[in-house]
Amino acid sequence: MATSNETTGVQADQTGWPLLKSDRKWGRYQLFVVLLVAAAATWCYIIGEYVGYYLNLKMGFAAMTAGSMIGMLLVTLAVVPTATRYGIDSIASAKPQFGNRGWLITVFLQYVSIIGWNSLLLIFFGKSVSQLLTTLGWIGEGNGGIVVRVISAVACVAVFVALSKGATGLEKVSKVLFVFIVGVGAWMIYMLLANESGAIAAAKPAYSSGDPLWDYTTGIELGIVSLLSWWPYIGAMVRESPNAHTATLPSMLGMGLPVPLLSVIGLAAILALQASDPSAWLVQLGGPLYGCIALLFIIAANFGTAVAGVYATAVGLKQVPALERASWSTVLLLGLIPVAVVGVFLPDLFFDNFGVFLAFIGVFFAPLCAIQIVDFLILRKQRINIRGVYLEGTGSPYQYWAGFNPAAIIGMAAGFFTYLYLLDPISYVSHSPYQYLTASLPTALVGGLIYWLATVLIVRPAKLGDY
Amino acid sequence: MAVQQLPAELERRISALEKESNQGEGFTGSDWIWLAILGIVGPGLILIWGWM
Repeated sequence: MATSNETTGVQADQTGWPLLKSDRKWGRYQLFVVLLVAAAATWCYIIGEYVGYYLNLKMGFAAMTAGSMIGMLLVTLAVVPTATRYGIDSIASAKPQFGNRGWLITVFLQYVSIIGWNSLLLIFFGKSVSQLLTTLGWIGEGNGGIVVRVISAVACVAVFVALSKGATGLEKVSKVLFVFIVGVGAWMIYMLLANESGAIAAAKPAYSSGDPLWDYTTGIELGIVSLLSWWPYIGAMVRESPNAHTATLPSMLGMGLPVPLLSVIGLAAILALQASDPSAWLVQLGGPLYGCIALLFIIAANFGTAVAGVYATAVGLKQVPALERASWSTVLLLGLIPVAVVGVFLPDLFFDNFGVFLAFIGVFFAPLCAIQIVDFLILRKQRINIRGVYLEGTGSPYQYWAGFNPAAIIGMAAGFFTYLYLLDPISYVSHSPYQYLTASLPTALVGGLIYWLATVLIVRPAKLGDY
Repeated sequence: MAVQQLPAELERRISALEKESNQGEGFTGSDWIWLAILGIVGPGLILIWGWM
């Protein structure tokens, strides 16, 4: 039978209420495993594929790795100190900056981005199953679309079942998947380099702009924006650890490094074999058996990440006043149904616009991270009013003006337009100094600077925001 | 300030976390060094290697 402390811990786990130190039992290793499993998904192959359009293996690996670690630094600085001090998730940690109504902007961003990533994962998974079944001759060429849709729906049900007990399900799933993901990932890199090193070395990127600096910067930018998308995920997981020290290395190495290491599989595969999906190219290299192993890897990697993503969404949604009393199952479904709808009805449309989705991440999450860093680490000197995070209405600490902090709105808008000027997220047409600075880093700088100025000049003098 | 009734369990948690000793500690000096190595210096060196 569960003790009273365990029961209230589970309650907090599923409500978005702050976790006490006694609830936060994940050490470095546990957190490292959970974060790694969350990060290691087949989006890495697609990220690698996109980088491979512009760069060769060496430059692509360097650009992706550097960009990923820079992006991870921004996310870590933005979320980890607040989440681990007070045991709160990414969404709650943004309330002091956005206000007790404005924080719904971050809920929306989290909701859209995680639904986007989960849709991508499950569609990729469905496509891989379809590819393998076609290769094995078990289904005809024309039936692939149906398989993608059915598999997406089945995967949503499996995620729902795994998470019906909260983060306990997340941790158990992660432990099971960890060894498999690491082992097969290393084997895939070996297979590619051992069999296709000549083709990889000779390969020319398909869409190189002709300007090596622009291509290199675009590789870095893809790395940064990919890792900025960890913002919605990371808070719900690092809050399970007792302090920032425990979470620092797991965050940087467990969540930051696996993405470029796994992306190199997609990068090398697209350069040498013109296919980033391992269930396609491993069949070319080693026949159906290898294809089956690749498929198992994709199931394991994508399932772990989808579970983490839906958990983070559910915790975020539980804090929306209208959903406060909703059951855990209801918020899980709110995170899963849109994924199922995309996977069943719009798989190709979504999958073919991955680049636009990535740019969307950079447009919004770069200034968001910068605003949190400036606010918590500089303006508030690493302290917030934890009661204020849960209070609403006139006179509450984070009421600002009608629940919105104009400094955050202006900072986000300034970052948004900076990004649009530097890099058009749809056409990827850029303006100088993009080729020297990327789009995300100046966006973060401008967003953070404007937030700081607006806070110092407007918000603090008005004695709002509990500074 | 408007008085707002929080659920009892949430109130208990907030009251506990309002005491500094119950909060998680921030980054230590070594954490800042790791962050600088992994997030700034390391990426800079990798970029130089990749460009050469």
